Amino acid sequence: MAYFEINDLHITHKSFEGVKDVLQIEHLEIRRGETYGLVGESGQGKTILALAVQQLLACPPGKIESGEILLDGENLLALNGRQMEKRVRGSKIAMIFQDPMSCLNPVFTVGQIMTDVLKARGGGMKKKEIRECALGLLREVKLADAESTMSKYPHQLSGGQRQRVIIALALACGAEFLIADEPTRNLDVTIQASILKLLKELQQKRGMTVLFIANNLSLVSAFCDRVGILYGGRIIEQNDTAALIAAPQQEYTRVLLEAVKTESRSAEPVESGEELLRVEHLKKYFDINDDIKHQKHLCLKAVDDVSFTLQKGEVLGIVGESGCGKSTLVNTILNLYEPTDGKVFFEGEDVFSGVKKGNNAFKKNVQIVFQDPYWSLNPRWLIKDIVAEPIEVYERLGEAEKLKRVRELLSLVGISEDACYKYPHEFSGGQRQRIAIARSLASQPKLVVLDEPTSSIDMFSQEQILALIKDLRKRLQLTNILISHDLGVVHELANKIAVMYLGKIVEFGPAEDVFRHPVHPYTRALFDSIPTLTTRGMDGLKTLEGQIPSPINPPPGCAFHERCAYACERCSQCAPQPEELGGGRMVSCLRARELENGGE
Amino acid sequence: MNNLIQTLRPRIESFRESLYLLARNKLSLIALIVLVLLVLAAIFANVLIPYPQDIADASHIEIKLQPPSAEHWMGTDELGRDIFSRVVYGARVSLRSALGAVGLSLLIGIPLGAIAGSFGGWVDNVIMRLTDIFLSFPPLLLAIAMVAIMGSGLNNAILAISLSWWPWYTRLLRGQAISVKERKFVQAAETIGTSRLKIIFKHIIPNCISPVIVQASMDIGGVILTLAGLSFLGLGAQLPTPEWGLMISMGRTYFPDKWWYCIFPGVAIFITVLCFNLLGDAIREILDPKTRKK
Repeated sequence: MAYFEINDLHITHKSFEGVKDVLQIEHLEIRRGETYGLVGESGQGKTILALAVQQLLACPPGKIESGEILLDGENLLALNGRQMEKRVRGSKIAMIFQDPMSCLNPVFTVGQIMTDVLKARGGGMKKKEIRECALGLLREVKLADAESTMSKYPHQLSGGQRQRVIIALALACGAEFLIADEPTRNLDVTIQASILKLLKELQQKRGMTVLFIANNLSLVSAFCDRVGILYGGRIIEQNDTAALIAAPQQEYTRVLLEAVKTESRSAEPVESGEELLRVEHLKKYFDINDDIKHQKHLCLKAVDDVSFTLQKGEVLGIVGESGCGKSTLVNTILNLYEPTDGKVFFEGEDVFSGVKKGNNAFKKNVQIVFQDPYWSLNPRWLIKDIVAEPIEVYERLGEAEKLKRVRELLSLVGISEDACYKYPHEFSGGQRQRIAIARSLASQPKLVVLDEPTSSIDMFSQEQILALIKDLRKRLQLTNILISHDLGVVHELANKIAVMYLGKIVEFGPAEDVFRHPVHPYTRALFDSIPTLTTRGMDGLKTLEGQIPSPINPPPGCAFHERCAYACERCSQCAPQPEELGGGRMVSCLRARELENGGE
Repeated sequence: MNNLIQTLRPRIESFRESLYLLARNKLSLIALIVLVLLVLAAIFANVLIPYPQDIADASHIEIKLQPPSAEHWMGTDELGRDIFSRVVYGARVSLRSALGAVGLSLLIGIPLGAIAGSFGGWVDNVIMRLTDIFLSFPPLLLAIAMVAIMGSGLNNAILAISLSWWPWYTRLLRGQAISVKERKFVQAAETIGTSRLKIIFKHIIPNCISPVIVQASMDIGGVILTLAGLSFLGLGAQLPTPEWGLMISMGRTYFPDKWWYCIFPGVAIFITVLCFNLLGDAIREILDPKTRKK
């Protein structure tokens, strides 16, 4: 018999545009102890379902029209607010929210938050018992230092640690049914892997039933027994994980699958031989003055001695965990930040000395496409003005001519001409990103930087955007720098790869070689921690233990040695220098030669 | 022409949505209707009022201080002038002065705030310390002091009020500008090479303006009060201008026997200020992106 069951659930949402169906689920059931993965992109109703189950949906504007949600045979929708609070929420159903950064109250310590929840559970525990219980929970979620975590405030914890605290809170009341709403979103891949492993372990230990909500099929394939695909508020397909991946029935499922396949589609190398960009020993340090503790002048080494060259027509993919300095590197090259030291040559000319003279040629030649198309277009401008912005700066054109150019650019990226007189909010994420790309091309640049170009748009559009970028590169002979945490995207577009860790490039080389045979231990760990469609269960997933060290006070020697599986004594003493391995590859590791030849 | 229609289309749509949001809240709808009537009355005051000559220095001593009647709906004052005519015409004086004063303060406050917020550093410091100096005096007191220097009169009172009012807008806009300048489209404009000044006026200010508009619409009520206060003290409008504050001041000596002289201008002030406050709330609701679809 099903433990959790939804029958004919119909939820609507009322707004200015009228009443809209947001969720229509005919039937969904989860057996006891099972893990059910609900996959869909943002806006398809995943979170609404999670909230509706707990009667947390805001009504109005939402309204549950009909249907039933059965938990252990009891219809949750028939219960009133008080009953839900007393008998269901917390004690039967617990939820892990998607953003660990914002769902812990910043004014309480972890200990206080835990205590509150444990008290609410009742049972008349004494203070000491509560503390013991809280400590036990924190240890259960494998927080390294439970004692000191109790007295810390949420902002003092990293994203991964916070998510662990949230999991501990979800466990606190002994719930049997866990709703995990994209629990690893906004977390780095290495941390994602460890959180997933933890969840799986806890589930098995406590015999919990899990509804796992995700926007990515590869996560679900590793984690869940059964999968449902949510599209437009309906479950369009559900099946056992393996069966669904092997034989998808719906077009949409196929797109989702296609999006996470990484095999056999990497970009071909380019041999133009013409150098476009050369970065030499670039450094960007941020000063930190700690007046309160009267500490000496500290600095944060966001980019530390980075050198590389980029040839015309190449695509350089920069990968690494968040905080590794990817964006700072690019912003420094683009002159948005003042460099601390080092030089950047563009077509043989020193960029930084040119800028001091007020030379705009470099800016004209180098443009950037930002990650989030919702914020990178001014919401109060018409599309024609947005796309024309670079034209205004660099060319003096009449109104009619400008409009003609804008139309050309828009059709180049596949946006219809009548978009000119619309505002950004009238477009979907993918369309906005196309508009942003059109704008970046308006000044006829030679180098376009793509900062996570697909990470905040839906899967359908991602594929199209990638195709567009490839197409434009060929047609306009563009050179690209691509920043992304999505290795699939990097694999598809890049023909050179730079792996960054704590402000340094630890591995650099042709994409094909690096993907097939990563040398640096960090690169290996990074690649292994990403679940793919072939990953079944958690055993195939390697995790990288420990936190990223602070770049203010990096560990001595090799910055990675504390987390490295191959570290030896030497690693903590002397810092590795970049070493040529042949074939254009560079690796910063003391054991690079050994690892290259020996493998393990 | 076609272009014009295309440009206007999204604006019309957003206007329709605004009306929908406004109509949801009955109280703000009433406020809006009352204000529209008030504005119409102010515009067409000359035609509407029954005794146009009474707004100036006319005198009919024989009917002085009469209680409300069919001929004089709000009674007459000490010179026998029709109070209804004067109150209606007073709407024109008050609204024009209030809009002028708030507009002038916005004109000073917005650019300064935007510049302070987007440049930061010493520019920010200079501008913000200047506003701090202005903010360290109660606005009414500051306005009184300035009128005392410049000499009393309606125009000087308007100028004095705007000079004591702009720091609030500067502060508000600076706070907004600091957050807006971190948005990606500003960074995008920087990488494109758009000039600094253009970024401030075309990118930053339009995206900071909503809370300022809300604040300004609420302030109109406050400015009307301040202006009435100054006139009451004899520092604002001068006789025989039919200004509400001045009328209360004149009627004060006859209160409470001849209550209508004070009460009707007072009610006019009360209704106007209340409606502007309600409207401010409504505008906040309309401009809040959370209540919008996007």
